[in-house]
Amino acid sequence: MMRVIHTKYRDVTEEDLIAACRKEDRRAQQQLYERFAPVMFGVCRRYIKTEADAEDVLAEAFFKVFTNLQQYRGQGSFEGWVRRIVVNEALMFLRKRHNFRLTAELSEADRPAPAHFAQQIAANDILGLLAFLPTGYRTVFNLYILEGYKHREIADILGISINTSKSQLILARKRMQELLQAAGYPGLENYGSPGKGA
Amino acid sequence: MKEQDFDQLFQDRKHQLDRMPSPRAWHQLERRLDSHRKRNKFHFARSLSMAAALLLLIVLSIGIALSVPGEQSRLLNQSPLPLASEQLEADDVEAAEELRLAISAQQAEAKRNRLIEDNKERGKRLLASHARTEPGKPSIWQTLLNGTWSLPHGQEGALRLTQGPDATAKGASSIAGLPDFKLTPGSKSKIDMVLELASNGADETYALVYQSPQLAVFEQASGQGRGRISFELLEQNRLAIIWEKADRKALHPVPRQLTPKPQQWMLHQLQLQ
Repeated sequence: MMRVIHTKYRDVTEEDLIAACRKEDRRAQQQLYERFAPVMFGVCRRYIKTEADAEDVLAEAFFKVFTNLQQYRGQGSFEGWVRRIVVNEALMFLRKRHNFRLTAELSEADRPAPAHFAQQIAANDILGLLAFLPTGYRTVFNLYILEGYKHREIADILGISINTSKSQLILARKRMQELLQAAGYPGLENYGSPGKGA
Repeated sequence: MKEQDFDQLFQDRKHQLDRMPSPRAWHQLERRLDSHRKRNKFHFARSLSMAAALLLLIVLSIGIALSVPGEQSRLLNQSPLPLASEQLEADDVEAAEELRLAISAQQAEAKRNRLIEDNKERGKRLLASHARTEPGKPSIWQTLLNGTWSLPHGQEGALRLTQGPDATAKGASSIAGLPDFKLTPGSKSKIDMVLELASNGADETYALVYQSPQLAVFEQASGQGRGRISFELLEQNRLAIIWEKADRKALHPVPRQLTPKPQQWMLHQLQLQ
């Protein structure tokens, strides 16, 4: 378990905490980490399949947060600034292991969802299904639907064409729908029907 | 289900995976921060030590430069002549003189002009007020007074300096072109000396502007025209006297400048007996 935090920074404002972190106060850094780690770990888990890798990415991202705090000018939300660093770090991690320009995963879209995986997932744990998507699908799905990036931005970030980004999203939606249906999630009957689907 | 509803389904559960990571993540982060802090301290210490080493090097360089007497006097005195005189060869007087003229014309023109502009009779500024004699070595005046100087190679003419009771030194010369002269201690300091020429009734006075154990340079302080007389002790008990005199006509085109070409000079190399 996480060790006990000193109460010194329990009730301080975010600005004071950031100021203390700029002075490399370790207790302030731990407090700041604990405030944002759960949300940022969720972001990492959406991009990274395994928890161990997600924790590595999270630690590296927070290291960059603490060593680049001077660059945060207080414009915009601090959480948004941290989130961008975490997402970038996750994408860097994926780039080392996956070439987004390759579209070999397109063939995987036709592969039926493994029933035993779907059966293990509770209906209310649908984000856990992301782990069953291929890396390219999952990344585009995350960036477009959950982070709100446009296809043009995704194409720039991943170094792919806009059409590739669009096709990966369509296939990701299709695969995710299959996974949801296999998990018995209700209300998907009409999705994908002519005129309504992607 | 519509596409927007499908997307909304996931957006509503955006934080479903949020939870505190295991302590391993914080420990990993803490290790990275510790090593970063140590590295920063190391870089800071290394930068500090490099700056200190550089400062020490500069201080040592200055100390060494100041501790070398020859360099010091040259730097501080800004003598117009020492470099040329250092390169005088025993049997190559003409080449040495050409070198002296060229270097003195280039290096000392500005200094000399300023001296002449500042000149008020004998009030010519003394440049070598701090010149010193090296321990164990006689001053140039002691050496000059010691004996009679004659021309080498059987040429006729000799120079003899005698010290008078009033601390003056009078020179008697039988060398063609070199007038008799008298050295008189000035009033400014111990080494402030005045050289008076007794030549064709002209009243010319030269003030000492540079002095070292081997070299004494006088520049004209009164009388017509401008001139300079140098006494230089060379190796093997030889003495060089160089008298540079500006042509009066040369003063008109470029006033107050001692141009090399119209100079009339005489050089006598004598052997100490």
